[in-house]
Amino acid sequence: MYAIVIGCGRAGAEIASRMCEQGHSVVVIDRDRSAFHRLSDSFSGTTIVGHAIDEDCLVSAGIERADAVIATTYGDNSNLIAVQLARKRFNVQRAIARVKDSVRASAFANLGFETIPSTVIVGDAFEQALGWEPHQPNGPAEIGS
Amino acid sequence: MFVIIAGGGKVGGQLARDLLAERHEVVVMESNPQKARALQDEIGDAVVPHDASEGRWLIDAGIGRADLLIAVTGDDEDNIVICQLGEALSEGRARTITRINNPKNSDTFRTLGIEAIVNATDLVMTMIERDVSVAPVVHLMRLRNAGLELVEMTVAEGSAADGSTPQELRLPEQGGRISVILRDGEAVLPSPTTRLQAGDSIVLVAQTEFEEALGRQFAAPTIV
Repeated sequence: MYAIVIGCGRAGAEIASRMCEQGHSVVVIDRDRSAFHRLSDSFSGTTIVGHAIDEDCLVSAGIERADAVIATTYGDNSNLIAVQLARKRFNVQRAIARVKDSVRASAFANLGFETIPSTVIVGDAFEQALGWEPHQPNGPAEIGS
Repeated sequence: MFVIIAGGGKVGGQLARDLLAERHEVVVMESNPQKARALQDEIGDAVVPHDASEGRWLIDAGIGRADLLIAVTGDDEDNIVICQLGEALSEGRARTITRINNPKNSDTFRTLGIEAIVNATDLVMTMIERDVSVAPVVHLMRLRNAGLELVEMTVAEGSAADGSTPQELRLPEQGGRISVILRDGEAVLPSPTTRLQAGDSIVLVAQTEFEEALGRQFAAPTIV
């Protein structure tokens, strides 16, 4: 698989390194060159300094032949724009956005975009660690009340 | 009409004042505490000091019953996502308008089909006719699939437009049509013989390809 990881924070560096370990080709994009220090020794891909929604940057990262785009930047909105670009503009098969805001994550999931609701996932993990009943997803709060 | 304005900067603040003066119900969402407080001092409880793209706050602000959501933060990505989120959370009930700050992005977003949300043409036109000024906005919106832009330009002193009429400027032949002139806080509907003055703000429907050339007519002459 040829994958582009956008954002090289802890999560981005983690998934990029794991993908390399699995034998995939990976390009990591981050605005900040120093972020690439987070990549582990097992990372064998390439790195590009650039912005998540800059089409020129995405093209130079090879998005036109990418099988997957993984958007992990700190900004939910950048990630959501990046996956929309990947899906709609470049026809990338899989485009997944990390979205911390649970409401935004479910809203965009309903629109057909793949989202990782990281806050919900961490909450679930804590609940599980405490041995509580699994969280009942109740979706966004009541609207219009 | 109940209007939520995302972004309490110059544009958002002015829109809020104008809409409140027209007796609309308005909520402004501004995540910068200082800006939010300054606006609160002026227009009171109508300010929610939070990020509009944060779903719970948009719900709290009343997106479920909003008629219109206007996203005018300084960040294009935020504006787009706020509009999309607003449409989703209101189940398509709220109409959304945004502005695009960076023309480079407008192409990007257009290819995403995001245009639909930048498009409440008639509504914006109505607002403009009712003298809701949208002063510092440059790219107000792109009209869907028509290759048209709604732009605002200010007539610079000594520019070709300064002292000229739309007829003399031959604007229609050059791909532009003035919708409204904002002069001293008043909206003036232009005739072909209305004389433009330095300081006028012109809301112009322009063919996208001619926008730059049109802009030169309103810009100050370059010193050679």
